[in-house]
Amino acid sequence: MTYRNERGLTWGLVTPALLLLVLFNVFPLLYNLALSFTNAELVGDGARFVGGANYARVFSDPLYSGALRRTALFVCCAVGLELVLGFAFALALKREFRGKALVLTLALVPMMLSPAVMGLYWGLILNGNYGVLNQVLGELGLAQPQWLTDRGLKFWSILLIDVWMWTPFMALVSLAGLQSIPPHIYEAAEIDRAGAWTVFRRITLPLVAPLLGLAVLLRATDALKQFDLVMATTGPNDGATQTLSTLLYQVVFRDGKVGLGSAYACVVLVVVIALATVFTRYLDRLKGAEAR
Amino acid sequence: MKPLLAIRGLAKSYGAVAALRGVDLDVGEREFLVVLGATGSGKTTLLRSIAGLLAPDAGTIELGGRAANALSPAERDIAYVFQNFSLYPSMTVRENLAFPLRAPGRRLEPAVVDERVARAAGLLRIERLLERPARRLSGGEMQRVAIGRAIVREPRLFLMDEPLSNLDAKLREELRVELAGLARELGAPVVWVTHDHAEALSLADRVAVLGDGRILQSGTPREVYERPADARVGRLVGFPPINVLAVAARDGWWSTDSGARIAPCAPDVPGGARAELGVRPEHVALTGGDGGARVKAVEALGPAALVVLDWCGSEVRALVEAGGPQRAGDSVAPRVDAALACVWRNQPL
Repeated sequence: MTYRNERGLTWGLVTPALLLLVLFNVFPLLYNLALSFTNAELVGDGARFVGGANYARVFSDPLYSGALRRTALFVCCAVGLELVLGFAFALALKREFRGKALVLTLALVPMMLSPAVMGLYWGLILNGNYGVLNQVLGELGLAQPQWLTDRGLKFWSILLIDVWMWTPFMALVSLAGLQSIPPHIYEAAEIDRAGAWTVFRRITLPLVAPLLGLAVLLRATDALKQFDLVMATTGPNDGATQTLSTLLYQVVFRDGKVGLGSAYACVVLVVVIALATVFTRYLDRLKGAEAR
Repeated sequence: MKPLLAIRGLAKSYGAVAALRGVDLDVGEREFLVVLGATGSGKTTLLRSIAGLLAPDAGTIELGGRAANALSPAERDIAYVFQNFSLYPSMTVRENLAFPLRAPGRRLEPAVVDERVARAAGLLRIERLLERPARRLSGGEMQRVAIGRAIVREPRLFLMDEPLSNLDAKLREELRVELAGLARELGAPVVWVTHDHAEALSLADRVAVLGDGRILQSGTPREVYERPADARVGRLVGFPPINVLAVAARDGWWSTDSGARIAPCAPDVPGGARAELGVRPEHVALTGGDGGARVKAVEALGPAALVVLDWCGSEVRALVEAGGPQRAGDSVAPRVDAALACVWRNQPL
């Protein structure tokens, strides 16, 4: 094949993917950027250029700063809890016992279900009046909190659902990491009289850290766009549970303020890119340490 | 003198497979013992039982005159060098060496730790590697560090599980010579497990040959090489491998069934007695002329040549000086040095 033909083939193969990328990623991104400088609305036309007015509003808007704070809290608490609980589960699952395969299969179930459906189910379970949880609590003579309507409680209820859904994921990733550590290293440590804590801190943790880092990155980016659970339990316009994603939805699709929503989205995008960069740097560094 | 390590009737099975079927073994205060055995002969099982990493099904292990069966690996105060190095990958070489010294209950001054690490690093010539992460070492370097990690502890017994088998031939040779010197210098007792007879012959004060889950023979390297207790031991020790021939006593000769007269037999052997004859290739001399054997092949080994003979239908190997006159197809008269041949009677092949 001649050089010319080969070049032609290269472009021929790449172009469809490139076109799709431009059509569905690059164009919307640029269009969104353009919209963020206008006062475009969902209905009606005649969008006017308004300069940085939308951005000025984003940074002064208490709704936005509240959603940002809430989302950050959600990411930190949910991913942190999932990591700690998941790792603890993995340590328990590491040894062999009867029914281990069944436990592992069951652990996969929450991950396999749609978050929106899970949100609806948990909505039923946690319902303050007829929810299963409160009925059980009532039978036991305990308090029956309004899980999804109490202002101070509903954010944590949603967080709990997320932890329930994603702890098994962390457990499985941790387990894979733990099982990849050769047992003879532990035997060497046993002969070297290392204490349990030292073994954990100096041997186990450093060896599973790269994998855990990756799992945290995946979970953090996912938690950052938390939408389904909030929508299914409290709806998008609840001051106590509004995340960045649901705020965006509210602004654009309920209030119809496309220009303002686009400005929100642009700011969120910058935050996400910054976070992703930090994580990929971290992973690169781990990879580098491995290769050197 | 009471042995440092005394093992009696040690047995261990994995399901239906018996790895050890009653091992008796003593190791003296300053003895370098090499346990030689083929792959799957139970060597590692034996070593892991001594270390306490494995609970034997039966038998006793005594360390320094004290029953050790119930002691944990940590309490036995032994060092174990693994075949696959088993360094702590996330630590530097220095941290690896210091790790056993920082164990709870040791209470060593930091200065003492530093001194011991420096001494071990000096002995093994790994000073320049001290700050390097363990995962960035070559195989030979890793094994040096692993041995260093054993040395720093000054344990009462070293256990070495084929420590050189993951290294290439040249490095193995180098490190073997070096470790032999080091062991003498430290004067510490060592149980070294290997399938490599060269390691056994060059390192050991005493060789214990393990086969079929038992100690088949135990003795100095010379004894094991020159007077193997049976064909299994003979085959395991020495290269090129020993010739093992099924023979019967006929007219004062040990002869094969096809009629090759291998070596004269002692006068007290009754005619028709059957035996196995073990003849080392270097104990077969070749002279010209028709002696009933034909040269099948000649293999040059550098300083010597291995001549493969067809001796009345039995294959016999002879080790002769390089550059000899034998060519494939020649007729030769082989002569076995009867005094050096081993006769194993009443043992099935």
